[in-house]
Amino acid sequence: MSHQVKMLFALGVLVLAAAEPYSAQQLPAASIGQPPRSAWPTYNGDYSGRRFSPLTQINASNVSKLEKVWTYHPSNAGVAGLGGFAGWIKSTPLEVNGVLYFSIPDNVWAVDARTGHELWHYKYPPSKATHIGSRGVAMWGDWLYFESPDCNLISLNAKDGTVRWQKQIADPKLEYFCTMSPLVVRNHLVVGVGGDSLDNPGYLESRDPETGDAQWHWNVEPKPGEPGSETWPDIESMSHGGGMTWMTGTYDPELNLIYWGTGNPNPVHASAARKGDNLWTCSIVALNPDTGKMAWYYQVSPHDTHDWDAVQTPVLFDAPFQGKPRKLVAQGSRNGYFFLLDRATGEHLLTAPFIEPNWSLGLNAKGQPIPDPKKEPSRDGTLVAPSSNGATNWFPPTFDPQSGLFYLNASQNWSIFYLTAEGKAEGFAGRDDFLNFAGTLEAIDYQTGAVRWKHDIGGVVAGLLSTAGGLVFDGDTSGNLIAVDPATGATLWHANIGQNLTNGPITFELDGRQFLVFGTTNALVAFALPKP
Amino acid sequence: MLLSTIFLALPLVAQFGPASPPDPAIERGRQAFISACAFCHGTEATGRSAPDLVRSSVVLHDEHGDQIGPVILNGRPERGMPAFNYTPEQIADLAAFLHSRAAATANRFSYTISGLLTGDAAAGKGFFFGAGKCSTCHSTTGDLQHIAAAYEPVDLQRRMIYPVPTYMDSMMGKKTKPAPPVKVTVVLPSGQTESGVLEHRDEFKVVLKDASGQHRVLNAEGAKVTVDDPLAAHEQLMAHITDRQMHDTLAFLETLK
Repeated sequence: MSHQVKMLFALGVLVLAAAEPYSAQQLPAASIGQPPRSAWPTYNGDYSGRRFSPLTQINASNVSKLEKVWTYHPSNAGVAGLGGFAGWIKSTPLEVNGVLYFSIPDNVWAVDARTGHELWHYKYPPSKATHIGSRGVAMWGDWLYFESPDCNLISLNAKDGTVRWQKQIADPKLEYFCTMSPLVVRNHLVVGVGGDSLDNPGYLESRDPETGDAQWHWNVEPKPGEPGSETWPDIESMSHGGGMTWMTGTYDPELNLIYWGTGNPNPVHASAARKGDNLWTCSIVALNPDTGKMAWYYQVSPHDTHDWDAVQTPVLFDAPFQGKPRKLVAQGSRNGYFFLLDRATGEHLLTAPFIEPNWSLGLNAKGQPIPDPKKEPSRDGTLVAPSSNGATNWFPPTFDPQSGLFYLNASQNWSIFYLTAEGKAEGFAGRDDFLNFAGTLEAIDYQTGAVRWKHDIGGVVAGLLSTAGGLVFDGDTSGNLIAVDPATGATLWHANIGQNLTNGPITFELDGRQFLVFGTTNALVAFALPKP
Repeated sequence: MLLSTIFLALPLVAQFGPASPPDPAIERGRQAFISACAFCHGTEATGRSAPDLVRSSVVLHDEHGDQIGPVILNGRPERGMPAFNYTPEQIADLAAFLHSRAAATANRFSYTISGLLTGDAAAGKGFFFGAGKCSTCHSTTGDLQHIAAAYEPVDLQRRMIYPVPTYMDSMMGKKTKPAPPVKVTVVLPSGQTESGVLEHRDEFKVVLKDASGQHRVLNAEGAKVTVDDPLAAHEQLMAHITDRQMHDTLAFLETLK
């Protein structure tokens, strides 16, 4: 977008976009955040993180008739490392104007949403950075944004996948790596970073979507003397405190706040040199997207020692709590607890476990689980539920306003946590030995925290979608895509898709036909009802 | 739990594999570092009166001594570091050592887990034959004879709690015994009964190997599936055993060399 167009757009002169439908604006920023119908324009479909679609063409009465429309096997998708995980489609595709945009590490594709035909493929040069996954791309106007594993923010032309510019957002030599789908808020592109193997500080940045230049930088750790610094013993620990920001946050336009989860403190498993709560790691934070200033925070795991990043989507919804209408934010956190807060103020409303964690002595007055010092990693091993993989992880949850239930893929798992560091503890400083990998789809009553029902899905590798058609979509770990009744968890439909679901499914309507699109270990697949 | 899930990949594992064989340059660098640098930077280069070099930006940006070399040759007089008149080979050795320290720190799968034998073997024996009910299924002179010779303590401790090979075993090149067979009986809606060794189970199907060795794929919907899983007792144990009991029982099993 030219400077002049940007000016006009800022003045609200949208007619220009209408006059030049393709060259001007494929995705006007003002249209992002609407309930997802014909488009799925952001990582979570809209800004709320609910992953709830208002579409009803596919519904409980006809879901049994769903059939496969196309399968797309990504071209030239070989990505080395990580025992093959890297090639899994963990990204949530965007769908804008009938085109799907999705990624795996080092690769972005544009695919025709109606037919599954590849329109273009962008390949980034290989790098030594960790290739663990790519959550997807972001779109603003005619441009896409992709975080490379070695932390370049790359702007691509959505039309043909050519590179407009690339900007470094973190230093991969220090062991940062990047996976996130950026969040677009008006003229801000919010990018997060990952990598907790060498005690780097975490941060969040806003970049100008036109130029890629930094607009603001928010540090997960305070500087000496600032509020929060009293939760660290010294400058050394504070400046190497971790807290990665590797999952896409959410946004409330009315409050003008973005909501972000932060990762675990460092050194990961050794806590002796970082006594204290270690703010603002393992927290949900509310930031002003124009300034990066923090409005409030709530720490879900004070002084974490188990690698339980609190980066799970902070899901926003407006609903009653104890009889009073509230603007709420909910998180099913990796530490095994569900949290409900007032998102205007950060006031704590409810904490409830959704598995049976064994690491806490109970809740404090603020509703935070109190870590049991006996359950910290030890040299001879400490048996803890959940494992470092967590009671849940990056797997997208969903909130269905019709059922009033919060759904997530959860795992009642155990691990033996060891401390290994000799001398000064650095990096992970320990490791856990996984025992089991259970998995259930759970429905949580946000008003009480009670788990209404559980549905066994074997293990957990993917996420969820709910729709106004009275459906919750998930995948098990035996290659089945399933649709369940939101109220009961009963299976309404399943299809064996050959591989496991590996992302959060999306849905959108094109030419009057509702599509369901999801990723697997090696394909992007579309389902729909038969054409009448 | 379903058998098919046990081998599930871990989405969050960053790097795999044991450490590669030692490079002689690293060892030479270590010796040089200990004699010239360790007094200020610490023997493991994690810092003492002088900075930590493991998570140092200079070291992490260095390629074969190109960043480290000038610092060694010129010193940092303003911070009290003297200059060292080292040859390019000596600098390369020091760089190799420092890179190895950073790599070893960053790769958690190269960490050595040790010091597990803190328990009381006598108390562990008591648990084994008593509250733990281990002797219900296991025998110290039968299946567990010489068990301590078959596994490292870390693997023995894990398998004691839940004796199933994990994805990590294969990624780290460990050879572990497969999980014990699970017997399954399926009563189909027709009343027909099938039984055998469970090979797969999900919500929609059960796969078993029957007595004749035939693989049978059965529709699980509407069927009554009964599983006799020898791991069920371990699942209960996992949720209730204390760390003390775990360490004591490991100490007892370690006597079974």
